[in-house]
Amino acid sequence: MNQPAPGARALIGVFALCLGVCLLAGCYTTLRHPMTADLPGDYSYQEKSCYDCHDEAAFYHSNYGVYFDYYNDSPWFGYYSDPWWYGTYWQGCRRRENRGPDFQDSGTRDHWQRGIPSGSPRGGSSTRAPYLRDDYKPAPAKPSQPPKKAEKPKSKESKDERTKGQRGKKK
Amino acid sequence: MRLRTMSALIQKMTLFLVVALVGLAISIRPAQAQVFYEENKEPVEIPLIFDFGVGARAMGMGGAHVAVVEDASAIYYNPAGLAMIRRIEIGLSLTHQDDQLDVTHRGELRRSSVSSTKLHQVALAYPVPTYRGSLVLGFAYHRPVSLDRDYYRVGPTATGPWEYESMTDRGGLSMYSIGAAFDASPHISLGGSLSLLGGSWDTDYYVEWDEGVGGKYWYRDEADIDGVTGSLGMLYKFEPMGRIGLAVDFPRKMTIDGTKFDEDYPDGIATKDEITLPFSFSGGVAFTLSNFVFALDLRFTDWSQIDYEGPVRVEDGERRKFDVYENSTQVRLGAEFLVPNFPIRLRGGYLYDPVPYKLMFTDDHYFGSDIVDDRDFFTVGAGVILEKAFSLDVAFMTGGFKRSAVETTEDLSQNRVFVSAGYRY
Repeated sequence: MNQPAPGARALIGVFALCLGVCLLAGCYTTLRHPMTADLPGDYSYQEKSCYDCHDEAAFYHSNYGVYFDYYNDSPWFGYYSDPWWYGTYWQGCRRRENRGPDFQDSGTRDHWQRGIPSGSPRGGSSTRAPYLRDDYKPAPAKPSQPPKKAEKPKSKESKDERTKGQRGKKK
Repeated sequence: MRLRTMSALIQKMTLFLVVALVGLAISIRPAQAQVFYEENKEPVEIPLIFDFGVGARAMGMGGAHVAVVEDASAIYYNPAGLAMIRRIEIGLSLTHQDDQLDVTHRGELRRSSVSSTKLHQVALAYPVPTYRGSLVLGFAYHRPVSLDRDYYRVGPTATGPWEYESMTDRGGLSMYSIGAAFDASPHISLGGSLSLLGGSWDTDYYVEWDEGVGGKYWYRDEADIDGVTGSLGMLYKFEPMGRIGLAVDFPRKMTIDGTKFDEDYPDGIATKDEITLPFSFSGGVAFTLSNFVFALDLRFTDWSQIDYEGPVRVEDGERRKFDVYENSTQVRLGAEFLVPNFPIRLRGGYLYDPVPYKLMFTDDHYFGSDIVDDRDFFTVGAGVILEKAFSLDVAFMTGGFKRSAVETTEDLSQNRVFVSAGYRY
């Protein structure tokens, strides 16, 4: 193949520049949550879901309208709109139209091991500053001494159960 | 605020439509008279401009995909559509071409046909995990332009009793592309792609006249195509029912390096052509009603800006200059129906793609041509999804065009079948 023409090099430059500027200049798309002060208690940004702090978190990834409403009750819904880094695409999946009112989306974002909201409210109007929910109970202060041996889980099984519980529910 | 933004977008779309329609209206063709050209600047028809489109879902909708696109073929139609992809996608497409050309020359009809099946698309899209918005990278191989064509003509000429002419082209233009797109706001996605062009173009030509007392000439040309292009796109999503897409395709700058063999050079002589195809501007709108998606695209290209060793121009008998190519506006219409309770989608579409080349070659000279039936196609298609992850789409398109000059008529009918498979995980 021939040497890239000067036009090609210019195109590559413009392309890289546009992409870099948009990604580095604080545009809407963010790869990581902005670093802010730590939240009190057990909350941390590494474990929280968007919806805990942001009303409109539903359209961060699951935007019904953007994918045309007509996908909502079709097998194509997941094909188009479920991010791959959410973990329940095949595992235990049930067709959306067959889900009963008691359906609990137990999905997790495998990629970052973060919880996701069980509800998917549509729309929303604003981004709120992080706040403490009414039912929030602060975690007990960390003991200054290491826990006694007797308080450790007795088996691997019970240890795993505790981990799952911590990820799904934070209190 | 959103309404104001949308209003401005609609105004821009309207302006684009007006410019495109005015472009249609001012097209001028020379009459069916011989035209003349400078030595070594033969005003040949460049088949590289006939770009069909890619992907079975798109082609089932007449190619109206600038606003609809939400799979890896976005790299081709509108790179901003990549931002719609949420799962890692691998796509593969095949196309089958079945063309038939009827040439009627001074009452003698001859028919030639081409049938070929090619790999048409291999694409990979990788959505980068985001906390908010979307960032998707795409890689693709496309073969949007087929150079496979046969031409066969026989009959009396203006100066002699008999002439036989045949030309066989084989090859295609391929694009090796990288693209990226991101959400710039909840409802606006931006994207770009960069493509290296490649491919081959082989030609066999033979002409024989006045058998026994006349003569004959032949040549064979084997060439490789290299080049570069790129595109930028934008997608505006208005909830809950539609999208507007805009895309700009940068000029395709190509170098065609070949070796030509004929009686004078049986061992071959090197040839080199440099061709730059101009900008193309596309705009599309798509919206849903119940279980339907409707889409309309316009794609404007001022082909008179083709640079083939300079502008491609000719003179008529009164030394008036004409551009050999004129601007054109493709119109693509499509609809898709999602069958309730079945994992099936049905599609139909229409593609109007006017022929921008104004001349025809016959009787050993170039003449202005009349377009009897301009190039258009009807399309149908269907798609199915299996196990939430595997999609299969097929499309069929049929159409062609007819033109004439100086007792010669060319009637080209073209059929295409597209088959695409996509896997998302």
